[in-house]
Amino acid sequence: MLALVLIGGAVILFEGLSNATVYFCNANEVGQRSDCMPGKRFRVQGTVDTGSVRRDGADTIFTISYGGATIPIHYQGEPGGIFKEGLPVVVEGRMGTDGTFAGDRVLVKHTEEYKAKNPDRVPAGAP
Amino acid sequence: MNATLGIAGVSLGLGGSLLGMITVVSGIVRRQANLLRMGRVYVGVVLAGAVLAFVAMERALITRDFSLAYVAEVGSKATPPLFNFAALWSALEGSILLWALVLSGYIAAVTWHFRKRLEDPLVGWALVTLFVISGFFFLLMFGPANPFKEVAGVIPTDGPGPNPLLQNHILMAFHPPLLYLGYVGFSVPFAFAIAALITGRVGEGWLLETRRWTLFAWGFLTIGIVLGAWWSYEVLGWGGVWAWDPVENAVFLPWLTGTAYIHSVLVQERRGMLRVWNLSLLCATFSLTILGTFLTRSGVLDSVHSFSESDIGAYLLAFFALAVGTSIALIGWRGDRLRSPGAIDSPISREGAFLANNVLFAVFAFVVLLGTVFPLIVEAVQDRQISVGRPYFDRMATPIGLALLFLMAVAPVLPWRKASTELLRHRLYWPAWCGVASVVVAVLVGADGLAPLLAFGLGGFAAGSAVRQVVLATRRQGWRGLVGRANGGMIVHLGVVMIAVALVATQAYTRQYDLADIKPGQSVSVGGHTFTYERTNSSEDDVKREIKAAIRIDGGAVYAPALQLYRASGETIGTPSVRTGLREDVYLTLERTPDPDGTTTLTVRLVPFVVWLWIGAALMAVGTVLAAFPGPRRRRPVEPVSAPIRDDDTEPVLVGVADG
Repeated sequence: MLALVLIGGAVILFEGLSNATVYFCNANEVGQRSDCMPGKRFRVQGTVDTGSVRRDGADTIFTISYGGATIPIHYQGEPGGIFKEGLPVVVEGRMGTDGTFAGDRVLVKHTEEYKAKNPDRVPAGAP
Repeated sequence: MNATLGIAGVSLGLGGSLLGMITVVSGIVRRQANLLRMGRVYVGVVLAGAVLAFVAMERALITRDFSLAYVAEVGSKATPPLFNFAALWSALEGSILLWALVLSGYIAAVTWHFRKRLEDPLVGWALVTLFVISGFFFLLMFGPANPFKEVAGVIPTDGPGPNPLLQNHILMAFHPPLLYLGYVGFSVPFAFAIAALITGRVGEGWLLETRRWTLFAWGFLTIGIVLGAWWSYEVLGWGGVWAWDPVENAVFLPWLTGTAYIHSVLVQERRGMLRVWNLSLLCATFSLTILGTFLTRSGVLDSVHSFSESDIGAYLLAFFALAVGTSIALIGWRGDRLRSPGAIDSPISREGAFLANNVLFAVFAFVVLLGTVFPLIVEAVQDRQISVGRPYFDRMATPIGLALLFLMAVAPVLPWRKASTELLRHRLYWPAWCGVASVVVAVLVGADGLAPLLAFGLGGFAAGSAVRQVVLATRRQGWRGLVGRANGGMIVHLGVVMIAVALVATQAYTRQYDLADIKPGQSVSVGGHTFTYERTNSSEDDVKREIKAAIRIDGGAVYAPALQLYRASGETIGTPSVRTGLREDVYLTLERTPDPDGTTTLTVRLVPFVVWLWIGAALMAVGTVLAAFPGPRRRRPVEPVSAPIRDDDTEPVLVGVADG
């Protein structure tokens, strides 16, 4: 009886966890790693490209880049808050088969390193 | 100067803790009462050290002493005085300092409270345990979290100030200290639990001694959590109160085990049962506060609260392992003395209900813990980064929450030992009708969905049951029917029901409308309200530029959601504007900086019932205070002094059991 309850509980937990688990992918891993394939829901990380942000009705369109790869993002709504060009962000959503990532949640990587926001101060030779 | 003072304070704290520990231990071992009494001297030293360090840091902040790295990190010339004072606990090192101060205060209070019993080994071991904990936190300030480190190189002339999010509401100055009063307060019952295990006096004595300390810590933890939720709602501007963020979970976990404890301890007091369980709960609660600090402060988990990373993680993890290891070893060692006399006679009894309550709280804590650390496990095993989203927590919490509501309805009317069906039918008659009535009312005002309706029904049931108990008690005893643990507990239950109903309603029925490209002078009607965008107001001060959009709601008052651009960090922070109502809040946020002609995007959220969260929390606080007063029929404790348990397991634990 107790064993049944425990097994049942474990199954419920496993189901719950696997349904709510979202993988992190860097922009250059999209389409490369098995967790980051089109049609899947995941979080993609990259820097918002300067000059790429434009608005389409209530939605926002921009591109993010990381490690040489660029992903176009169609975001539902306004990212708001501290989102802006040149800032590293994490977008959660689903990768469409057309190569556009449909985002519904933006997390701005919000470090306490204030200097990092002046990219011109990054020492020469940095990647 | 400030650095020297501060380091002197930290050294005093560490030295006092170590010497106090050694003195009291040798006093107990060599049975020398004068050594035991000397413990209080070291308590004084520890408190003085903590106060000195705290004052030094405040002095550095107030005089803008940017030669301290910490002040250069969180201070600025432009920060207003209150937030400058509160800047002490706005980052890692200062939080550890605040922790040490609060803990020293608790140690001093414990010493004063037990000043006539310092020779009692139980109190002695409790003091030793507290000295170990305070020693650890002072040690952190010498190692990885040194608040008095001096700036290397050129001393800056100004700093960025605290994180902008911590600067825009006065409550942010009080939320962390209140939370710490709760978080750190669990050290006291933990210390007595350890002392009870070491001395072998694992009977009910130490429980009674620490009952109010536990309630005090629990009350402040509750208030701290709710204040955090309030801040998240009123200031952060995402429209919700709880996000299952790792930092929130870190405080919620000890709250869950602490809540389980304040219920199950009643069973031990009345029937002498669940001894191992209660000790384990206290050890778990304390260990979870350390684990929570590790999870949030070491930077191992991604969190919106984004604390800075440091190598403090290894220390905290080691201390967590020490706390858990010591607890398990001691409980194992004392296993033979912990066997409880008697057993539960019938599952349909007060103790049966408490047991079910505890199983649910334990499962709840396990589920939340698993979801919080699962990303760590996956990263360790598979080297991939993942996050566990809200759906997991929501899905797991819903059935557990509903079951807890059901227990809250039934348990208070159950007698100890055994209940008959007639008795239950009689006592649950009115509460059950309250539940039915709430479902009917909810349906009439348009509620739908199985889980919300179930929650409203069970909420009404539980509220009916709590009100019934309070009415009966006050009818019997007048105003005294409101004080005491059982009666105060019912007031707390009423608050919990309000919070549960409000949480469910906000989750299920919040409506959101985006008013894109709205122009000054334009009126839009959505969700039964009219919003008139009148104009923007811009203002500047030393720290930030603020843009407010004046929005008239339904032709009445004007509300002004705002955006603030903080110059030092370049961050833009939004502040919502909320029209609070008993039935529904109208919640406005400005989504982007208005164009030069004022065109902007406004989000409107209609959030039902959210005010009942805060009312419920206030009621919980009132109930906790009432519960801390001695009840009207104060029974003599089972054991007036905490005598060692006799080996033959024949404790007189069934005192006062009304057998019907």
